[in-house]
Amino acid sequence: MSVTTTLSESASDRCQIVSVNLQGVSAHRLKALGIFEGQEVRLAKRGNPLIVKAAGGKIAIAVDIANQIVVVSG
Amino acid sequence: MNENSRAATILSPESIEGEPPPLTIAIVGNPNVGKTSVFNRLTSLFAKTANFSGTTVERRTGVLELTDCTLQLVDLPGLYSLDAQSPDEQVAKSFLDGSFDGSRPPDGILVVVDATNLQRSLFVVGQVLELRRPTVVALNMIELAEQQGLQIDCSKIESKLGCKVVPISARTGEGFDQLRAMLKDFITPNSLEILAEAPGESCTSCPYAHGHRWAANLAREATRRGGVASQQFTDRADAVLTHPLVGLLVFASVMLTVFALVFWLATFPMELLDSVFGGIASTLATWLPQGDFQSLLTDGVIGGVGAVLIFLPQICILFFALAILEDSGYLSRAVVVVDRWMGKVGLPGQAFVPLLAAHACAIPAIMATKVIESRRDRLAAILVIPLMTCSARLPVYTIIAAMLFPTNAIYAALLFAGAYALGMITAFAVAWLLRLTILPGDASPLILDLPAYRTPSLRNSLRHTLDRGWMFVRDAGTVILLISVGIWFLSTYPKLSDSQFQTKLESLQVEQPQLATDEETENLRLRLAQEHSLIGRGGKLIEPVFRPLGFDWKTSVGVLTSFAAREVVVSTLSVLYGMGEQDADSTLLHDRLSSANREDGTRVFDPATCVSLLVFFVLAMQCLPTQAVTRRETGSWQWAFFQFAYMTVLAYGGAYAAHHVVLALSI
Repeated sequence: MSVTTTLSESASDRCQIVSVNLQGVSAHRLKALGIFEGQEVRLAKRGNPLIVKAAGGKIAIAVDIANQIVVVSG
Repeated sequence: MNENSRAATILSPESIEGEPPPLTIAIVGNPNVGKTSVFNRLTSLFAKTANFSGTTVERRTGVLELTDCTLQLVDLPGLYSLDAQSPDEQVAKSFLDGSFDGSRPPDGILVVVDATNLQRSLFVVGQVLELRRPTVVALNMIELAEQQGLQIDCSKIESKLGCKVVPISARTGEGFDQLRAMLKDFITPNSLEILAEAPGESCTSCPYAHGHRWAANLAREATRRGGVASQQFTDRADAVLTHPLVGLLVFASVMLTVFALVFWLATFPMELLDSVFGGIASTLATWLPQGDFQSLLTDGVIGGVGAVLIFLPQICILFFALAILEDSGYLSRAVVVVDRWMGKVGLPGQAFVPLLAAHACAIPAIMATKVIESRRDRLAAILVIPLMTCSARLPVYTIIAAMLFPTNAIYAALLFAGAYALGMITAFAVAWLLRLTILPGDASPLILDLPAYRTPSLRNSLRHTLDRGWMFVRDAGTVILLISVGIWFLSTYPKLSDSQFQTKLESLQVEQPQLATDEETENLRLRLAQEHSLIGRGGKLIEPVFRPLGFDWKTSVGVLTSFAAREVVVSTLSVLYGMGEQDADSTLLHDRLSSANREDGTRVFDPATCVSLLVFFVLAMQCLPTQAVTRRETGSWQWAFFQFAYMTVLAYGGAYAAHHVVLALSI
């Protein structure tokens, strides 16, 4: 069963990104680091900032940003 | 000079006249892939660090000597992509494709990738290949990849990329002979053809996804285990170091240790430098005939420049410690734990380390704000950095503490702590106000790559320290030299002639018949000469401005002379209060200041004036070299001026309030 939430609220550690509702520098920075639609990510730490693993790297993301990332898990 | 060589000189100012310009190779790569280590290993010790003209983006240029030719290497800032979104990317991209103002494109590009994490670092390779320039890819940290059993198939990557790929280790030097030989191939134009299909071309709507998938697939095909080394150690360490509570405690202790190092370890070399400058000055004094020229060299040049260069040991230790922390991967974890707290006043987490560094000196701290990407955030950090208590304020604090609490060390320590706290609290308050006014908006929310932990490289850290130390000497040295000479001039001319001195002496001796010894006469002469000079007249002129703060004209002169460098106030007060060199060992400066009386017989430095002077020096800008660095790093004098103006207003207001509060309390 798949659940759609924001990245910051994802109950599961493994999820796939559905959409990134950001513009400008932040959106671009995320993409360059490998956070984009369709990418599979793993939540390594919750809280603010949270830490995800994607595209071979570890990335710290502020909750304000994570709230704009929609993921599907399950 | 013929036409050709003139063109060469214009294109490449480093080239020797008459010779063709050396071929240029740009080094590109993600941050944390060891790009700088590769650059350091390839080039000779003396690399030049400078900004791309008209920007605040830094590049390092070095020379690679090969058997029969010389190559010029340009180390670009670490990049995750070449999309020209951030200033770093814009400049790097335009430099690489030759559209950057006044430069020709590099003859070749060396892309450094992390062999332990090909998936992440191949993405930028794809973007570089799209430029269709001669390219060599270096797989750095190959020894770590091998230890982890990654087994990279270089020929596979080579065939996929269509360019030369060489495994290297900047730590051990492995593969560098091969790398040098390949770089030499750039000398034959078009010897390296780009064969690869550019990864982004087949998908216009989703180039990122495509580029990342291309990188991930290539990494998977060319290695066992999918191209990413085990992150077990990094994950375990992160569980502790990014923990909201434990992480903060670790961070606090790490920074305390760094500061202990900066202040204690630096004591010895600082004393050494002090005695070296003192030695040079006294040697010059014996060699040169007494007079203005001798005074210019000893008091103006050596006194002024020495007063700033003395902080070099602290700055070097600070940069070394920060370089080790950054190289190890810890610094980005520190940013993670402080980011949420900094965000509350509109500063990004990345500003924390520069703000801490500012406790040694604002100049390296402002240079260290380069890690902050958003211009708004960077400006906010630069504007508040000089409010932190730098080492140059310590002589001023020391004098005031000794005057206020000559016998109570605990109170003196509390006064110091209070001064540090005042600076920090004001900095955060100003950052918060800036956010409400001229720099609206929130600090950019954190998006930070956390590199794997690694053993830091001593070699790199030393090299970094050397570079930064030299920049400090160059930047601060040139400006301070000019200012020191200027101040010396203003406080020396016009000179008090013997007849003028006699006239003044006679008029004074009527009032002060107790003046007897030669020494006291000489002190009085120094004092009168100061009053007579331009700066003395200026002090008298502006005395009314500072009178509400409790400052007399001499202290006002101190404020004026320390405009360029705040620690100068101590030497100014020492001269003005009759502390000529002849009785330097007879009494301590703070005793003399404490016992100085106004004309009405009250003490000049009563508690209210001491506190007011302290608050003034906590908050005032009073440092011209910092202003010059602010100008360079913000790109305009406007911000340097704004910084000076707001800090001066703050200092005046704060000192005024403090003076009156203490007066009210003491009644």
